[in-house]
Amino acid sequence: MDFSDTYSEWQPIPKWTRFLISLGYGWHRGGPQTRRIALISMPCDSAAAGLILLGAMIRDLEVKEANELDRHTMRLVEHARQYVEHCRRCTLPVCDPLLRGCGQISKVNGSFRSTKPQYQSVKYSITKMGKDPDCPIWLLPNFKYAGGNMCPLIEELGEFFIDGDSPSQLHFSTSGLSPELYEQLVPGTVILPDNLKRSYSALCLAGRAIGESATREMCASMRFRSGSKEHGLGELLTIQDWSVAKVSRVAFFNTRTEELDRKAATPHLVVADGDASFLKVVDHSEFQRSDVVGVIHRTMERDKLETVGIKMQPSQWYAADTDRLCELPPLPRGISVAILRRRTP
Amino acid sequence: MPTTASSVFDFIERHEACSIKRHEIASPGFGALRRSMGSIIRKLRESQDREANEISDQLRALLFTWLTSPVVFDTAIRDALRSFGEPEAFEARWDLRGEYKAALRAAETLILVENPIREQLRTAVRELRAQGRTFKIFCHRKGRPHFDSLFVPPLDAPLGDSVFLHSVRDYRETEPFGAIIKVGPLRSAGWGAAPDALISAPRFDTLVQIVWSGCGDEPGFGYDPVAPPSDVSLNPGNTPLPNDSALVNRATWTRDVTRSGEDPGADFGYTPEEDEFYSFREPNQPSEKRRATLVEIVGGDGVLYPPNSAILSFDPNPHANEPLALRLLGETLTAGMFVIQTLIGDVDFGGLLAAEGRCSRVWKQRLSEEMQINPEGICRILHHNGVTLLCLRSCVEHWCEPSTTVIHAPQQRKHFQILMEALAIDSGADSPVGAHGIPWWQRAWNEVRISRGEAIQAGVHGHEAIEDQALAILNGLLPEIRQKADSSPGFRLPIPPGHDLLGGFVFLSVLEVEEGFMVPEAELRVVRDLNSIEQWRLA
Repeated sequence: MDFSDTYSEWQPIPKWTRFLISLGYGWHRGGPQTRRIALISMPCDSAAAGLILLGAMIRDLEVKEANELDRHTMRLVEHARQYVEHCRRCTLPVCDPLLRGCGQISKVNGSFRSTKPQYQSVKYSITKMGKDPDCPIWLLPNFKYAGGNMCPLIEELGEFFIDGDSPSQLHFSTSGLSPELYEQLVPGTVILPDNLKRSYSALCLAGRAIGESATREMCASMRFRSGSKEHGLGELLTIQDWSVAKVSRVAFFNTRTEELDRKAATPHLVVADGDASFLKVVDHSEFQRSDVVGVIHRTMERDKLETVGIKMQPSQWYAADTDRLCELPPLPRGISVAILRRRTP
Repeated sequence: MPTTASSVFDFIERHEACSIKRHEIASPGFGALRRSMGSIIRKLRESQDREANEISDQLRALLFTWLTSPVVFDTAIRDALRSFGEPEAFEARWDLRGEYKAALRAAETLILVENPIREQLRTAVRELRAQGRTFKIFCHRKGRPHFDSLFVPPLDAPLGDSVFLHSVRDYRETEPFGAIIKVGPLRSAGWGAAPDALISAPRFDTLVQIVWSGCGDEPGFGYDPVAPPSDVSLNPGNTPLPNDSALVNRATWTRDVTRSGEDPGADFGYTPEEDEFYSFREPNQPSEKRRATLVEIVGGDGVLYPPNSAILSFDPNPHANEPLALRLLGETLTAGMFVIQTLIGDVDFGGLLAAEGRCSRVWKQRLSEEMQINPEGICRILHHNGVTLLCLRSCVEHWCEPSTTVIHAPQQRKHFQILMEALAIDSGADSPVGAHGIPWWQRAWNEVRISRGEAIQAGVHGHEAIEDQALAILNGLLPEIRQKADSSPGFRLPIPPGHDLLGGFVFLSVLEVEEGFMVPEAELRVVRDLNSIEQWRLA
């Protein structure tokens, strides 16, 4: 397998890249009581955050429970209810839940899409909530060929997904992610075919403070090639809108706007790209139960380095996680790693 | 082609060991000058007199410039010292006991010798060139001419732009190379500052450090937030070093110190207490000042902001999601963008904008004529009447320069008044005093103040509602802003009629963002020339 960094010539995957992927792959989730905070210090700017997530994502592809099917129907119903009870009636030109006092976090668009390939261009508008718990949502498609006003059964809601999100599971006739590249990146991995057709939100990439495009460009510039197949890191991560993949197995947190790209359960692991992103994520209320891995480079001003350093000091709440440090693969020269673990009562 | 992470890792992998070749240089003349200036600065800092404090800050700025740059030992050093006044009068006024005279004497003796720092630097560069090694020089942008002046054809090839690194960003973007040259101690902020990454993330294998004896490196320089501060002399390092909370694998540093020259005046060499970088770390009266970050703009000017300020700014990148936004200094607001000053306040601002530069055109033309006819004469008059600035002549030359977004003029009101009186401009030639009810020089001064954004200080700038309104107005002006930004590094835009706000916006292109200043509150967010700003730099 070949690798190209910032559009340079193809070369075998270097040691530092393999280390970061294996660090992500080996990241064991200990549960909310043992939240971990790690800091990876790099000698230069890089797409290291994306590489760690790529490793973690490959690990998730092996895990049977790593999907959102259980929560999917509940999410659709919550979305429809918020739309019908709040957002549809809202008169504000720009969403402002505080001003409106609606108790929501942000507006929802009130439309679904179908996973069936023949209906992929159809948009289903939510019209009202159903009275029967077995048919909780009424939908109206924008094309007649897709039917009229309908109220799908609760088990049929699995075929729908929120417009703008990735489907929780692709239709059986649609092809999912291609496993070859992932398998070659972590030799010996056993990827479950079902997971290649399912979205998941337990992993999250927190982008650079300067904006999403900076992280996206950095990830896009790092490419992998196997035979005639060539993919950028951004595509492999399957972040919504970054790749042509129909499923998404990594959520994106926009550090500047402080918005997640989806409404989903709290991620298990957030990898923050850059010092500002790390500082924001580590204290963010949304991620207090998530493990956080910050990736910084040392070619920064002292003030910024010190601010990050203070955050990584052991305290009454967090202790050094020496066990985890000892489990890490050998460090390439130039990389430093610190890990803290929440103290258990 | 940008630097790739792989090329940096390749380099680090191949260079397990790095070395610091530190040349410590002593000189009797320069040592005497340092000690004399040090004791004057110390004495004046203890004074309760504000003017004494100002002079000590100016002397401190001079001393640090000489300690961190390969300056030529010529009459400029003596003249800079002499600009503070006649020896007898200066010593009598500030209760000195010969220190000023001693400093002048020492400066006089320096004229006869070459600066040994320059000799060593020349030797180092010639050696690196002879070995065919690629090298870089890390120095402050303002220090570059001192380096350039050493390498003049036909004896030496000039250094060229690619040799110089001036900021952490320059370092971040450079490809790995052979050696780096640094004049002065290794410090993370202030005078002679360099990035910690020189030690914590080297992209070279040899650091050639040329430093005056007694100037110690900052303890903990080479800081890595993951690992404990690295001591380059003790770090055993090419294997992972487990400690309580971190795993580290970094290059090994060795240090080779060469001492040359003698300074009989320093009995046992300098102690840390005598190291000027520790003794005079902060400018005077730190309690009255606050930390600030410099935004360097075109025309040799800069604006100081409180660190982590959210600043109204414009990103000219056509792909930027939000071209106009409040950005964090040094984080999301970087070089190449424009800071925007909102000039609101005096209700009559629209009128002032229309008359912008009218007075300045008159006095600048008059001053330029004087400088052509008799430059010494006008400088002498100004000095005699109380404009006691260092390098007065170059300051006057700066004031002659045409206005950009800022009108270059003396920083202090009393200096400006003296200048206007010295130029003896006939106010009636422009418009009678009575028409505006204020003297001509005062109107000219108001023009200068407004160009510097001082209306902000008096106005309601910073108020969220105002910034929101400003942002909304600016978004409506975006096509015009883009057009102007393409052609000019600084421009003004009046607020179109029909809005609640009166006034305009000044767009200033950001050349560099630099931390490490302590500044009086009143000097924040105001355009000042870089020479004045230097006095507030931390050591």
